[in-house]
Amino acid sequence: MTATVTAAPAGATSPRRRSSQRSEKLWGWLLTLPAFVHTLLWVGGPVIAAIVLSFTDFDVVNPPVFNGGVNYSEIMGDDVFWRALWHNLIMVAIGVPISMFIALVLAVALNQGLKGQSWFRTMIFMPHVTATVAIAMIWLWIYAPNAGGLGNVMLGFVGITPQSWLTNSNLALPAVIIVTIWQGIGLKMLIYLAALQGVSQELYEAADVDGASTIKKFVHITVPMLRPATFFVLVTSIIGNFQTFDLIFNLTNGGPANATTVITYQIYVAAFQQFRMGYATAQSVVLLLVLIVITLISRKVVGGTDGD
Amino acid sequence: MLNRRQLLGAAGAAGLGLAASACGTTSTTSGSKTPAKANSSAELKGTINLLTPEFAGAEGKAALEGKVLKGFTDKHPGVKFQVDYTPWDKLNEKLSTQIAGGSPSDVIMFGMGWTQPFAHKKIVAEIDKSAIGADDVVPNLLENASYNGKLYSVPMHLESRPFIYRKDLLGKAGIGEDAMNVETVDQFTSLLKEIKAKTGKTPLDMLASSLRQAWGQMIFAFGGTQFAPDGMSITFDQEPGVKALQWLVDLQKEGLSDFNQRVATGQPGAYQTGKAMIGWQSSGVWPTFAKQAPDLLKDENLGIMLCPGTSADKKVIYQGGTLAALSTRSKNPEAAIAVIEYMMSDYGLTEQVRFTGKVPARKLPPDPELDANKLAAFSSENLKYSVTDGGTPAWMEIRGKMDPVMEAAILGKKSVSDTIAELKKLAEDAIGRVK
Repeated sequence: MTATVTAAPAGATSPRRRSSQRSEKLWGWLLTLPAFVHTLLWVGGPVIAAIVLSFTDFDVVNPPVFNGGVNYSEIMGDDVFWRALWHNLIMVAIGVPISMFIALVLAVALNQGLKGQSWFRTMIFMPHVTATVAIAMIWLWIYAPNAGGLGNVMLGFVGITPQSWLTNSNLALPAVIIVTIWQGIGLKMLIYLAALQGVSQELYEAADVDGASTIKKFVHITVPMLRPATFFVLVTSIIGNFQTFDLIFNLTNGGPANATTVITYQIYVAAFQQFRMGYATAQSVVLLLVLIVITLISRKVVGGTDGD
Repeated sequence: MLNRRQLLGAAGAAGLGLAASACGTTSTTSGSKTPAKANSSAELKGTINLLTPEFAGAEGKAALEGKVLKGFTDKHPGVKFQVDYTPWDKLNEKLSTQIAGGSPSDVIMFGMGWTQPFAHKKIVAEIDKSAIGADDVVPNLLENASYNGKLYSVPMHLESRPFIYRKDLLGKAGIGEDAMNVETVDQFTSLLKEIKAKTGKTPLDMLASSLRQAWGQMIFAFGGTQFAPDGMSITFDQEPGVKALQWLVDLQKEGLSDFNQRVATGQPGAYQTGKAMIGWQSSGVWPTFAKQAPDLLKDENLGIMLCPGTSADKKVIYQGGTLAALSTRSKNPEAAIAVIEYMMSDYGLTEQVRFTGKVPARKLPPDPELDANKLAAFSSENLKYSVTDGGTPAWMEIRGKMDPVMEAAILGKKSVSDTIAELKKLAEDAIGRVK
């Protein structure tokens, strides 16, 4: 069966069609209006307030006092803040690719119709829905600095002496990164699984006809077809990593000697331990700028969803 | 038209929920020229919001609401309590969010060293000393509860930290009671080395605690202070402060104490598990040990001593503690101050320390259960040696940043002089902001 579509000449849209288009547009605006108002009030408002407050000295009790760019110039000289940013970048650079790779492999493996795969999917997703406080408690036990901690028991099997995971300044950040990887795999795997369902089987069948190996199919079909999902996972993982707070708060309190501190923890310290809301909001604004830059770079590198 | 200050104020309210505090709450005590005092003849009613870092868990709630406060509500049935149980490590942010939200609790319980910052910021109101039963509180504790010569909080129960030691294990290693009777820091250091040599275990469990507090105690042990009496300049960069930090660094370097023995909150520490021979323990651990490790509290196993100083008469004991203060924004200040007065009464205070295991800030009638707490009894007898850290209005900003800086020194990542210089800078910056 063939279908013939005759394109209307440009600019020759009928009045009825134009009216329908206008109506569609109107409905589109009306339907997005609640979300737009919500975003304006609860995201836009606080963001603007935060930017304004970042130029003040504000201790919660007394009214804010405009202090120009003092907070920003202090940030420039705040070694701990830049160290925190560096830790965030390390966590992103190491934790995100590793967790994305593991998640992708698991998603492909659990998309093969294996026996018991639903159970495995649930188990792997479990850390994502578990409260971070509970996760921190479990890992505190794993990282207990004596022979009773599970981590040290495992090391004992291979003849390594017990380690002070969270109090050794060289080990603490890697120990935290391991937890973020473990915690983050579930959601990434789920997104990849959903994306894998959308990859056409015809592509694999055609590759089979051409005699492509499993690895070639994975590299040349699966990976490119998952590009939009990969971009989404990458950006949300980066942002998620920069928002890591509860894990640090419960696991290390940023220590030892600021070895695991991150920007959100520094913002918390400034705001709620030191009552320096102006400085804390300035740190938040810098974090916002960093995230915008990183998202733009990610979009450039991965390509995002352009054309999809 | 809004001026710049009003505009900034409005932005602050929008961003941090200050609208309520700006418009909804009438300050009833902040403008008062006279200190708050209880009026026993008045008929009290209304709800009292109480913020406390003590009395955690179901047992704590039962102790506070079922015993301590019940005596008050029996007498004043018109008063109801809304208690906010917030652990110590979350107390600071709870307070700041309460203030930002415009509804700080009427009665705020907080720690030693917190009074000056909160009084400076006018978060807590001045209190009439004679009216709340604080007359017989040890004078140096009242000093810690005062700012610019006026009383702003009431010390209730103290968390004294004597050194406690394993008499049994040390005895087995040939270190008798006499050997523990050291007079100076130098002798104490020699003792720690002897313990290490004879037992092979960590001699002192001190670096696994808050380094800020450990240094705070040792500065006084070395004959110094942290801040000038007015709290507006630092003194911890002088010789005693440097020596004290060097002493702590050497403890780690020589294996006399181990920072890596730090455990998560709630887990038994090195002393309790027998890995360390001397513990720097709060008197408040008594009820916990009584449940978890009662053998440690037996006379034949437990020894208690003060921290030696530079000479025999310079011994010290670190004094943390829980103080109660009246919020300047309390809507019911009369009832709130009556609650504080009641909590300082024989019954109120006895029931509090019965649960917390801490040292009452004033002498109480004999009570067999309380007297059984040897740590509290020891601390109570030695209150005159009390020292504590803090003492500046900028303390809340300084205290949170000290531990990470000091950890770098203990772990050998930074020299003592660089550490002191960094601490000096952060303290002076913070003090500069409150001037």
